Amino acid sequence: MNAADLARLEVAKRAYRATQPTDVEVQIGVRRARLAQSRPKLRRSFFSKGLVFVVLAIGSLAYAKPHALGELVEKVLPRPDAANAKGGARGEAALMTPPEAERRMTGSAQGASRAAVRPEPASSPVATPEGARAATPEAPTKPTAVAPRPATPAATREPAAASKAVKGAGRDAAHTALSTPGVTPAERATPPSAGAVSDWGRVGQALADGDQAEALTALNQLSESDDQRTRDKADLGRAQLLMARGDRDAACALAGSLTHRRAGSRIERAAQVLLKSCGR
Amino acid sequence: MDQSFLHSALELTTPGQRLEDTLARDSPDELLALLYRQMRALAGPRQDLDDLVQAAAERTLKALERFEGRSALSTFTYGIVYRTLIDQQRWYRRFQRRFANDAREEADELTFPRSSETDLRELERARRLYVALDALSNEKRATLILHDLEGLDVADVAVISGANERTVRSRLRDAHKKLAEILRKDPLFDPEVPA
Repeated sequence: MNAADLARLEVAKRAYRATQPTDVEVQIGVRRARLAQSRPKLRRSFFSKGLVFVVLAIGSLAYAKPHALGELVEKVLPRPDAANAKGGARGEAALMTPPEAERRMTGSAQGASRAAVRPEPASSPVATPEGARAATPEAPTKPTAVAPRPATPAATREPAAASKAVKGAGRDAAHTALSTPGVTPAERATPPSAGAVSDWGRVGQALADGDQAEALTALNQLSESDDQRTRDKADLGRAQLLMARGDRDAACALAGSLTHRRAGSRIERAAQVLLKSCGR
Repeated sequence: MDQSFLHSALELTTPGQRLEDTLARDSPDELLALLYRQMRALAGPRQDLDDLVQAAAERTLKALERFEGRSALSTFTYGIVYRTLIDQQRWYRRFQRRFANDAREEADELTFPRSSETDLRELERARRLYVALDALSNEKRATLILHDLEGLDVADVAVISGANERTVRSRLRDAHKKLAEILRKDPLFDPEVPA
């Protein structure tokens, strides 16, 4: 490089320095860099992809197998009839104080011919103190539906048979009452009354007694329930009972109707099994 | 280049604390400003300057743990900026070869106070200077900028570029030769022309 070239290089240096970024420009660039660095790019992209995947999976499941989705929801959420049968009685018993439980057990042993008081279907699984009071014999009750029931010998039978027959609310109430410290061993041996038995419990109790007509009556009442799943189950039970009694035509008609109403995979499967024995 | 803010950043270091912790926690803006100026010097005004600064900042924050203080912090960060730029240019060249036929995008409008005809002339000279620098290879361009325009000595340039001092001198000689040829043809760089 000669002197002229060095002089040109000096001119170039002067131009280079004249175009150097100012402090303001540097601060703006720094701010942009900080903003870009604090942006959570990866997490956002994974979140959106995951969300799309979940929505697509649930959507395709709902499209392909709507019953499976319904059953999944039913498994997750408590069912209203189950809440009435089990949770209600359990909550009732849980809210009972030891003297109340003692009184209730004594009352159930004495009044076997008392009418069964059915709780409201819309009641919550955890019974309120009012609900517990309504179930006790001493309190003035306002039952929404009273199902009169003749005195059965179940209350006076041996405890093992009675507890086997009564499934659901009575069993839970008895279990809770048995674990209550204020109850004496003699009272513990007393079976639960029919007053605490739910609709399904009545069916079970009637079947255990061999009273098929009573069971069919209870199932007929259940088949008029507001809940579709309860209706389907009751119809299936009716179909099986009718088939057992030899009323093949009515049983096959009920089973056939169950297969056409999208009652759920388990109920439909049981109905299909029943239909196989109908023949052509 | 004014590096007074760098000295203040270095003074932030207390005996009980490590330099990288202090810089990352107490003066991240000063570190980013240093990186921005260095990247702007090496890469020139271009549209993807912010992306380059961000890439260099990420590398620097990761590499600060390895800084042992054997060189100045600005030399250390210059090395990271240099490697980031070289890597990006290599990637861009491969990308262009496969996916794009267009020539490189135009440089950004150079911004500085245009108060007089002299400033406009300097602006035009700077544009032509960057065009001339683009004619050099990446290594030679960076060597010339660091040594002649930024005023660093050959030893520092060798540390920054990770090359031998003789290699740096060789690159510098070649870059001078090529740049002088280009500037010789441009009347705007004639020393007789009044500034």
